[in-house]
Amino acid sequence: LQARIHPHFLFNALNALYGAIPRSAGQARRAVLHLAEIFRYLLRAGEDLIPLGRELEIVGAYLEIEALRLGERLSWTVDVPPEALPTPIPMLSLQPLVENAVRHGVARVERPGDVRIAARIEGGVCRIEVSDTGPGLGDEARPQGVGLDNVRRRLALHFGPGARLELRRQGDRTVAAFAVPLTASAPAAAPGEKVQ
Amino acid sequence: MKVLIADDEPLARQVLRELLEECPGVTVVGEAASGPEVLRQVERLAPDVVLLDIQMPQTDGLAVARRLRPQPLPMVIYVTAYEQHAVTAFETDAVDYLLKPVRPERLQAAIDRARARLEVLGATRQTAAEPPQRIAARLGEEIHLLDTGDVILFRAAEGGVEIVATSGRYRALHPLREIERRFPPPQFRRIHRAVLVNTAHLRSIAPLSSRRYLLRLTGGIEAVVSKRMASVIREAAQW
Repeated sequence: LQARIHPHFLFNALNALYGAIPRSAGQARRAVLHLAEIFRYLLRAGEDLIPLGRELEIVGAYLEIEALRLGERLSWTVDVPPEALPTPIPMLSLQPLVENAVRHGVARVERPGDVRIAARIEGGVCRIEVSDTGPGLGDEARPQGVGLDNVRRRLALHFGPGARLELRRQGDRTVAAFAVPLTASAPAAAPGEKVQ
Repeated sequence: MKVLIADDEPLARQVLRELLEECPGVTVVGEAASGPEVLRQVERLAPDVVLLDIQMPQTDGLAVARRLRPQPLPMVIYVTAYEQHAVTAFETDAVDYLLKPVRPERLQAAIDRARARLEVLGATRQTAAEPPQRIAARLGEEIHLLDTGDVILFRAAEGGVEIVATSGRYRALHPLREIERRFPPPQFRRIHRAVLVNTAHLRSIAPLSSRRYLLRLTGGIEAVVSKRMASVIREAAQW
Protein backbone atom coordinates (compact mmCIF):
# COMPACT_ATOMS: atom_id res chain seq x y z
CA LEU A 1 0.00 0.00 0.00
CA GLN A 2 2.79 2.37 0.92
CA ALA A 3 4.37 1.85 -2.49
CA ARG A 4 1.21 3.06 -4.20
CA ILE A 5 0.09 5.97 -2.09
CA HIS A 6 1.99 8.52 -0.08
CA PRO A 7 0.82 8.23 3.53
CA HIS A 8 1.02 11.98 4.07
CA PHE A 9 -1.32 12.54 1.15
CA LEU A 10 -3.74 9.89 2.37
CA PHE A 11 -4.04 11.08 5.96
CA ASN A 12 -4.06 14.78 5.12
CA ALA A 13 -6.83 14.07 2.64
CA LEU A 14 -8.83 12.13 5.22
CA ASN A 15 -8.28 14.97 7.67
CA ALA A 16 -9.54 17.54 5.17
CA LEU A 17 -12.51 15.29 4.43
CA TYR A 18 -13.23 15.11 8.15
CA GLY A 19 -13.18 18.92 8.29
CA ALA A 20 -15.40 19.26 5.25
CA ILE A 21 -18.09 17.07 6.82
CA PRO A 22 -20.44 19.19 8.93
CA ARG A 23 -20.03 18.73 12.66
CA SER A 24 -23.63 17.59 12.89
CA ALA A 25 -22.88 14.55 10.73
CA GLY A 26 -21.23 12.69 13.56
CA GLN A 27 -21.61 9.28 11.98
CA ALA A 28 -19.83 10.32 8.79
CA ARG A 29 -17.03 11.96 10.75
CA ARG A 30 -16.55 8.85 12.86
CA ALA A 31 -16.41 6.75 9.70
CA VAL A 32 -13.50 8.89 8.47
CA LEU A 33 -11.68 8.28 11.76
CA HIS A 34 -12.28 4.54 11.45
CA LEU A 35 -11.03 4.53 7.87
CA ALA A 36 -7.88 6.40 8.89
CA GLU A 37 -7.31 3.91 11.67
CA ILE A 38 -7.62 0.99 9.26
CA PHE A 39 -5.29 2.54 6.67
CA ARG A 40 -2.72 3.31 9.33
CA TYR A 41 -2.83 -0.29 10.44
CA LEU A 42 -2.49 -1.59 6.88
CA LEU A 43 0.48 0.69 6.26
CA ARG A 44 2.26 -0.84 9.23
CA ALA A 45 1.39 -4.40 8.31
CA GLY A 46 4.32 -6.73 7.79
CA GLU A 47 4.80 -10.23 9.06
CA ASP A 48 4.84 -9.04 12.63
CA LEU A 49 2.98 -10.32 15.64
CA ILE A 50 0.62 -7.94 17.35
CA PRO A 51 -1.50 -8.21 20.52
CA LEU A 52 -4.95 -9.61 19.85
CA GLY A 53 -6.42 -6.51 21.53
CA ARG A 54 -4.80 -4.24 18.97
CA GLU A 55 -6.15 -6.22 16.05
CA LEU A 56 -9.58 -6.19 17.69
CA GLU A 57 -9.54 -2.39 17.57
CA ILE A 58 -9.07 -2.50 13.81
CA VAL A 59 -11.76 -5.17 13.53
CA GLY A 60 -14.06 -2.82 15.46
CA ALA A 61 -13.27 0.07 13.11
CA TYR A 62 -13.89 -2.19 10.12
CA LEU A 63 -17.24 -3.41 11.49
CA GLU A 64 -18.36 0.17 12.20
CA ILE A 65 -17.78 1.06 8.58
CA GLU A 66 -19.55 -2.05 7.30
CA ALA A 67 -22.45 -1.18 9.59
CA LEU A 68 -22.80 2.12 7.72
CA ARG A 69 -23.39 0.14 4.53
CA LEU A 70 -25.46 -2.73 5.87
CA GLY A 71 -27.40 -0.91 8.56
CA GLU A 72 -29.50 -3.20 10.72
CA ARG A 73 -28.56 -6.24 8.70
CA LEU A 74 -25.25 -6.39 10.50
CA SER A 75 -24.86 -6.95 14.21
CA TRP A 76 -21.87 -8.33 16.04
CA THR A 77 -20.64 -9.39 19.44
CA VAL A 78 -17.11 -9.55 20.76
CA ASP A 79 -16.58 -12.04 23.54
CA VAL A 80 -12.93 -11.82 24.50
CA PRO A 81 -11.81 -11.96 28.14
CA PRO A 82 -9.26 -9.33 29.19
CA GLU A 83 -6.55 -11.92 29.82
CA ALA A 84 -6.67 -12.90 26.13
CA LEU A 85 -6.05 -9.36 24.83
CA PRO A 86 -2.22 -9.43 25.04
CA THR A 87 -1.96 -12.73 23.13
CA PRO A 88 0.35 -12.23 20.16
CA ILE A 89 -1.24 -13.05 16.84
CA PRO A 90 0.02 -12.46 13.30
CA MET A 91 -1.04 -9.03 12.13
CA LEU A 92 -4.14 -9.29 9.93
CA SER A 93 -4.95 -12.86 10.86
CA LEU A 94 -8.25 -12.12 12.61
CA GLN A 95 -9.44 -9.25 10.45
CA PRO A 96 -9.72 -11.28 7.19
CA LEU A 97 -11.86 -13.86 9.01
CA VAL A 98 -14.21 -11.12 10.16
CA GLU A 99 -14.22 -9.59 6.70
CA ASN A 100 -15.14 -13.01 5.24
CA ALA A 101 -17.92 -13.42 7.78
CA VAL A 102 -19.38 -10.06 6.76
CA ARG A 103 -18.92 -10.39 3.01
CA HIS A 104 -19.86 -14.01 2.51
CA GLY A 105 -21.96 -14.55 5.60
CA VAL A 106 -23.99 -11.45 6.38
CA ALA A 107 -23.93 -9.28 3.26
CA ARG A 108 -25.11 -12.05 0.93
CA VAL A 109 -28.42 -12.72 2.63
CA GLU A 110 -31.32 -10.33 3.03
CA ARG A 111 -32.25 -11.11 6.60
CA PRO A 112 -30.25 -9.63 9.48
CA GLY A 113 -27.06 -11.50 10.22
CA ASP A 114 -24.74 -11.75 13.14
CA VAL A 115 -20.98 -12.04 13.49
CA ARG A 116 -19.47 -13.31 16.69
CA ILE A 117 -15.82 -12.95 17.63
CA ALA A 118 -14.72 -14.97 20.62
CA ALA A 119 -11.46 -15.93 22.27
CA ARG A 120 -10.74 -18.39 25.07
CA ILE A 121 -7.57 -19.30 26.86
CA GLU A 122 -7.41 -23.03 27.48
CA GLY A 123 -4.62 -25.57 27.68
CA GLY A 124 -1.82 -23.04 27.15
CA VAL A 125 -3.23 -21.69 23.90
CA CYS A 126 -5.56 -18.89 22.95
CA ARG A 127 -8.37 -20.14 20.77
CA ILE A 128 -9.87 -17.50 18.51
CA GLU A 129 -13.13 -18.05 16.72
CA VAL A 130 -15.18 -16.03 14.24
CA SER A 131 -18.64 -17.24 13.34
CA ASP A 132 -21.50 -15.91 11.27
CA THR A 133 -25.12 -16.76 10.52
CA GLY A 134 -24.60 -16.85 6.77
CA PRO A 135 -25.40 -19.59 4.26
CA GLY A 136 -22.32 -21.59 5.08
CA LEU A 137 -19.40 -23.29 3.43
CA GLY A 138 -21.21 -25.57 1.03
CA ASP A 139 -22.14 -22.60 -1.09
CA GLU A 140 -19.76 -22.52 -4.01
CA ALA A 141 -20.16 -18.75 -4.18
CA ARG A 142 -18.09 -18.69 -1.01
CA PRO A 143 -14.57 -19.31 -2.19
CA GLN A 144 -11.93 -19.86 0.40
CA GLY A 145 -10.07 -17.06 -1.21
CA VAL A 146 -6.72 -15.36 -1.08
CA GLY A 147 -7.59 -13.90 2.30
CA LEU A 148 -7.78 -17.27 4.00
CA ASP A 149 -4.67 -18.57 2.25
CA ASN A 150 -2.87 -15.56 3.59
CA VAL A 151 -4.05 -16.22 7.12
CA ARG A 152 -2.95 -19.85 6.85
CA ARG A 153 0.45 -18.81 5.61
CA ARG A 154 0.96 -16.32 8.43
CA LEU A 155 -0.12 -18.77 11.10
CA ALA A 156 2.24 -21.43 9.74
CA LEU A 157 5.08 -18.93 9.46
CA HIS A 158 4.87 -17.91 13.10
CA PHE A 159 3.63 -21.01 14.86
CA GLY A 160 4.30 -23.95 12.56
CA PRO A 161 1.70 -26.39 11.28
CA GLY A 162 0.11 -26.70 14.76
CA ALA A 163 -1.73 -23.39 14.42
CA ARG A 164 -4.11 -24.59 11.76
CA LEU A 165 -7.06 -22.59 10.51
CA GLU A 166 -10.24 -24.65 10.78
CA LEU A 167 -13.44 -23.97 8.89
CA ARG A 168 -16.61 -25.77 9.81
CA ARG A 169 -20.35 -25.55 10.01
CA GLN A 170 -21.76 -25.71 13.51
CA GLY A 171 -25.54 -25.55 13.84
CA ASP A 172 -26.70 -22.55 11.87
CA ARG A 173 -23.30 -20.85 12.04
CA THR A 174 -20.20 -20.90 9.92
CA VAL A 175 -17.12 -21.01 12.08
CA ALA A 176 -13.52 -20.09 11.33
CA ALA A 177 -11.10 -20.79 14.18
CA PHE A 178 -7.44 -21.00 15.01
CA ALA A 179 -5.35 -21.35 18.14
CA VAL A 180 -2.06 -19.65 18.96
CA PRO A 181 0.41 -20.21 21.81
CA LEU A 182 0.41 -17.67 24.64
CA THR A 183 4.16 -17.46 24.93
CA ALA A 184 5.50 -15.67 21.82
CA SER A 185 6.40 -12.07 22.50
CA ALA A 186 4.54 -9.39 20.55
CA PRO A 187 6.01 -6.05 19.59
CA ALA A 188 4.74 -3.08 21.53
CA ALA A 189 2.29 -0.59 20.01
CA ALA A 190 3.64 2.05 17.66
CA PRO A 191 5.18 5.09 19.34
CA GLY A 192 2.95 8.08 19.68
CA GLU A 193 -0.39 6.63 18.89
CA LYS A 194 -2.06 4.54 21.54
CA VAL A 195 -5.51 3.60 20.54
CA GLN A 196 -7.55 3.00 23.65
CA MET B 1 -5.18 27.30 29.13
CA LYS B 2 -4.28 29.33 26.03
CA VAL B 3 -3.76 27.34 22.84
CA LEU B 4 -2.28 28.40 19.50
CA ILE B 5 -3.14 26.31 16.43
CA ALA B 6 -0.41 25.99 13.80
CA ASP B 7 -1.13 24.28 10.48
CA ASP B 8 -0.79 25.44 6.91
CA GLU B 9 -4.12 23.89 5.87
CA PRO B 10 -7.24 25.92 6.68
CA LEU B 11 -9.45 22.84 7.06
CA ALA B 12 -6.97 21.24 9.42
CA ARG B 13 -7.00 24.39 11.59
CA GLN B 14 -10.77 24.44 11.52
CA VAL B 15 -10.96 20.82 12.67
CA LEU B 16 -8.67 21.49 15.63
CA ARG B 17 -10.61 24.64 16.54
CA GLU B 18 -13.85 22.68 16.55
CA LEU B 19 -12.40 19.87 18.61
CA LEU B 20 -10.87 22.29 21.11
CA GLU B 21 -14.26 23.93 21.62
CA GLU B 22 -15.29 20.67 23.22
CA CYS B 23 -12.37 20.74 25.65
CA PRO B 24 -13.34 22.59 28.82
CA GLY B 25 -10.94 25.25 30.08
CA VAL B 26 -9.24 25.73 26.72
CA THR B 27 -9.15 29.04 24.84
CA VAL B 28 -7.90 29.17 21.26
CA VAL B 29 -5.95 32.44 21.23
CA GLY B 30 -4.80 32.37 17.63
CA GLU B 31 -3.77 30.51 14.52
CA ALA B 32 -0.66 30.38 12.38
CA ALA B 33 -0.07 28.96 8.91
CA SER B 34 3.73 28.86 8.75
CA GLY B 35 6.77 28.40 10.96
CA PRO B 36 7.72 32.09 11.11
CA GLU B 37 4.13 33.02 11.87
CA VAL B 38 4.10 30.57 14.80
CA LEU B 39 7.12 32.31 16.28
CA ARG B 40 5.53 35.76 15.84
CA GLN B 41 2.23 34.61 17.35
CA VAL B 42 3.98 33.01 20.30
CA GLU B 43 5.74 36.30 20.97
CA ARG B 44 2.50 38.26 20.69
CA LEU B 45 -0.01 35.93 22.37
CA ALA B 46 2.10 34.00 24.91
CA PRO B 47 0.13 30.75 24.56
CA ASP B 48 0.57 27.90 27.03
CA VAL B 49 0.35 25.28 24.29
CA VAL B 50 1.00 25.16 20.55
CA LEU B 51 -0.70 22.48 18.48
CA LEU B 52 2.05 22.22 15.93
CA ASP B 53 1.81 20.62 12.50
CA ILE B 54 5.17 19.12 11.59
CA GLN B 55 4.92 19.61 7.83
CA MET B 56 4.68 23.34 7.26
CA PRO B 57 6.21 25.59 4.60
CA GLN B 58 9.42 27.53 5.29
CA THR B 59 10.23 26.35 8.81
CA ASP B 60 8.81 22.95 9.73
CA GLY B 61 7.28 22.17 13.09
CA LEU B 62 10.34 20.44 14.51
CA ALA B 63 12.53 23.45 13.71
CA VAL B 64 9.95 25.77 15.24
CA ALA B 65 9.90 23.69 18.41
CA ARG B 66 13.69 23.85 18.67
CA ARG B 67 13.53 27.63 18.41
CA LEU B 68 10.96 27.74 21.22
CA ARG B 69 12.75 25.35 23.47
CA PRO B 70 14.97 27.02 26.04
CA GLN B 71 11.76 28.40 27.56
CA PRO B 72 9.33 25.99 29.21
CA LEU B 73 6.34 27.62 27.50
CA PRO B 74 4.62 27.22 25.17
CA MET B 75 4.43 23.46 25.45
CA VAL B 76 4.28 21.64 22.13
CA ILE B 77 1.74 19.07 21.01
CA TYR B 78 2.66 17.82 17.55
CA VAL B 79 -0.04 17.05 15.04
CA THR B 80 1.05 15.18 11.97
CA ALA B 81 -0.37 13.05 9.19
CA TYR B 82 2.04 10.15 9.44
CA GLU B 83 4.21 8.70 12.17
CA GLN B 84 7.77 9.09 11.00
CA HIS B 85 9.01 11.88 13.22
CA ALA B 86 7.96 10.56 16.62
CA VAL B 87 11.46 10.01 17.93
CA THR B 88 12.78 13.43 16.88
CA ALA B 89 9.62 14.99 18.19
CA PHE B 90 10.16 13.75 21.70
CA GLU B 91 13.71 15.11 21.69
CA THR B 92 12.14 18.55 21.66
CA ASP B 93 10.31 17.76 24.90
CA ALA B 94 6.88 17.55 23.30
CA VAL B 95 3.87 16.90 25.50
CA ASP B 96 2.26 14.60 22.96
CA TYR B 97 2.19 13.50 19.37
CA LEU B 98 -1.14 13.26 17.57
CA LEU B 99 -1.99 11.75 14.23
CA LYS B 100 -4.39 13.27 11.73
CA PRO B 101 -7.28 12.96 11.58
CA VAL B 102 -7.19 13.49 15.34
CA ARG B 103 -9.72 11.61 17.39
CA PRO B 104 -11.53 13.87 19.87
CA GLU B 105 -10.72 11.71 22.90
CA ARG B 106 -7.06 11.58 21.90
CA LEU B 107 -6.89 15.39 21.72
CA GLN B 108 -8.57 15.64 25.10
CA ALA B 109 -5.97 13.30 26.57
CA ALA B 110 -3.15 15.45 25.15
CA ILE B 111 -4.74 18.59 26.57
CA ASP B 112 -5.04 16.90 29.97
CA ARG B 113 -1.35 16.03 29.87
CA ALA B 114 -0.45 19.60 28.99
CA ARG B 115 -2.58 20.92 31.83
CA ALA B 116 -0.92 18.57 34.31
CA ARG B 117 2.50 19.73 33.15
CA LEU B 118 1.43 23.36 33.36
CA GLU B 119 0.42 22.85 36.98
CA VAL B 120 3.82 21.39 37.81
CA LEU B 121 5.52 24.31 36.06
CA GLY B 122 3.39 26.79 37.99
CA ALA B 123 4.19 25.12 41.30
CA THR B 124 7.93 25.09 40.54
CA ARG B 125 7.87 28.75 39.69
CA GLN B 126 6.09 29.63 42.89
CA THR B 127 8.57 27.84 45.10
CA ALA B 128 11.47 29.20 43.05
CA ALA B 129 10.18 32.72 43.68
CA GLU B 130 9.75 31.95 47.35
CA PRO B 131 13.25 31.68 48.88
CA PRO B 132 13.63 34.45 51.41
CA GLN B 133 15.73 37.45 50.46
CA ARG B 134 17.72 37.25 53.65
CA ILE B 135 18.80 34.72 56.20
CA ALA B 136 19.70 35.22 59.84
CA ALA B 137 23.15 33.93 60.84
CA ARG B 138 25.07 33.92 64.08
CA LEU B 139 28.59 35.25 64.37
CA GLY B 140 29.78 34.93 67.96
CA GLU B 141 27.13 36.69 70.02
CA GLU B 142 25.85 38.73 67.07
CA ILE B 143 23.08 37.96 64.66
CA HIS B 144 23.77 39.02 61.09
CA LEU B 145 21.28 39.24 58.24
CA LEU B 146 22.88 37.85 55.10
CA ASP B 147 21.58 38.38 51.60
CA THR B 148 20.61 34.98 50.25
CA GLY B 149 22.66 35.66 47.14
CA ASP B 150 25.80 36.08 49.25
CA VAL B 151 25.52 32.59 50.73
CA ILE B 152 27.89 30.20 48.97
CA LEU B 153 26.92 27.05 50.83
CA PHE B 154 25.38 25.54 53.93
CA ARG B 155 27.26 22.71 55.61
CA ALA B 156 26.06 20.52 58.43
CA ALA B 157 28.83 20.14 60.99
CA GLU B 158 29.19 19.23 64.63
CA GLY B 159 27.16 21.61 66.75
CA GLY B 160 25.00 22.97 63.91
CA VAL B 161 25.03 24.24 60.36
CA GLU B 162 27.83 26.41 59.08
CA ILE B 163 27.03 29.11 56.55
CA VAL B 164 29.85 29.96 54.19
CA ALA B 165 29.15 33.37 52.64
CA THR B 166 31.13 35.89 50.61
CA SER B 167 31.49 37.96 53.77
CA GLY B 168 32.73 35.12 55.99
CA ARG B 169 31.63 32.09 58.00
CA TYR B 170 28.59 31.99 60.25
CA ARG B 171 26.42 29.63 62.22
CA ALA B 172 22.86 29.00 60.99
CA LEU B 173 19.92 29.15 63.37
CA HIS B 174 18.15 26.13 61.84
CA PRO B 175 18.93 22.53 60.98
CA LEU B 176 20.00 21.75 57.40
CA ARG B 177 16.77 19.93 56.59
CA GLU B 178 14.75 23.04 57.33
CA ILE B 179 17.14 25.28 55.43
CA GLU B 180 16.90 23.02 52.42
CA ARG B 181 13.14 23.34 52.48
CA ARG B 182 13.31 27.14 52.56
CA PHE B 183 16.02 27.32 49.85
CA PRO B 184 14.84 24.90 47.20
CA PRO B 185 16.25 23.99 43.78
CA PRO B 186 17.18 25.16 41.26
CA GLN B 187 19.17 27.88 43.04
CA PHE B 188 20.20 25.70 45.95
CA ARG B 189 21.23 22.10 45.46
CA ARG B 190 22.20 19.45 47.93
CA ILE B 191 25.45 17.89 46.70
CA HIS B 192 26.14 15.69 49.72
CA ARG B 193 24.21 14.50 52.69
CA ALA B 194 25.64 17.46 54.55
CA VAL B 195 26.18 20.21 51.96
CA LEU B 196 23.75 22.54 50.23
CA VAL B 197 25.34 24.83 47.62
CA ASN B 198 24.15 28.02 45.98
CA THR B 199 24.53 27.27 42.27
CA ALA B 200 24.87 30.99 41.59
CA HIS B 201 28.33 30.72 43.14
CA LEU B 202 29.45 27.83 41.02
CA ARG B 203 32.65 28.76 39.18
CA SER B 204 33.85 25.53 37.55
CA ILE B 205 33.36 21.81 37.26
CA ALA B 206 36.40 19.65 36.58
CA PRO B 207 36.59 15.86 36.16
CA LEU B 208 38.77 14.10 38.72
CA SER B 209 38.28 10.51 37.65
CA SER B 210 35.59 8.77 35.70
CA ARG B 211 33.11 8.96 38.55
CA ARG B 212 33.90 12.14 40.44
CA TYR B 213 34.00 15.85 39.73
CA LEU B 214 35.50 18.81 41.51
CA LEU B 215 33.21 21.81 41.94
CA ARG B 216 34.87 25.16 42.51
CA LEU B 217 32.78 27.85 44.14
CA THR B 218 33.34 31.54 44.86
CA GLY B 219 36.12 32.19 47.35
CA GLY B 220 38.18 29.16 46.33
CA ILE B 221 35.83 26.73 48.03
CA GLU B 222 35.90 23.24 46.55
CA ALA B 223 33.70 20.18 46.79
CA VAL B 224 33.96 16.72 45.26
CA VAL B 225 30.74 15.37 43.78
CA SER B 226 29.56 12.36 41.83
CA LYS B 227 29.16 12.53 38.06
CA ARG B 228 25.39 12.47 38.40
CA MET B 229 25.43 15.38 40.79
CA ALA B 230 27.80 17.35 38.57
CA SER B 231 25.29 17.19 35.74
CA VAL B 232 22.47 18.24 38.06
CA ILE B 233 24.49 21.23 39.15
CA ARG B 234 25.40 22.10 35.58
CA GLU B 235 21.77 22.03 34.66
CA ALA B 236 20.83 24.15 37.64
CA ALA B 237 23.39 26.72 36.60
CA GLN B 238 21.85 26.69 33.10
CA TRP B 239 25.03 25.96 31.25
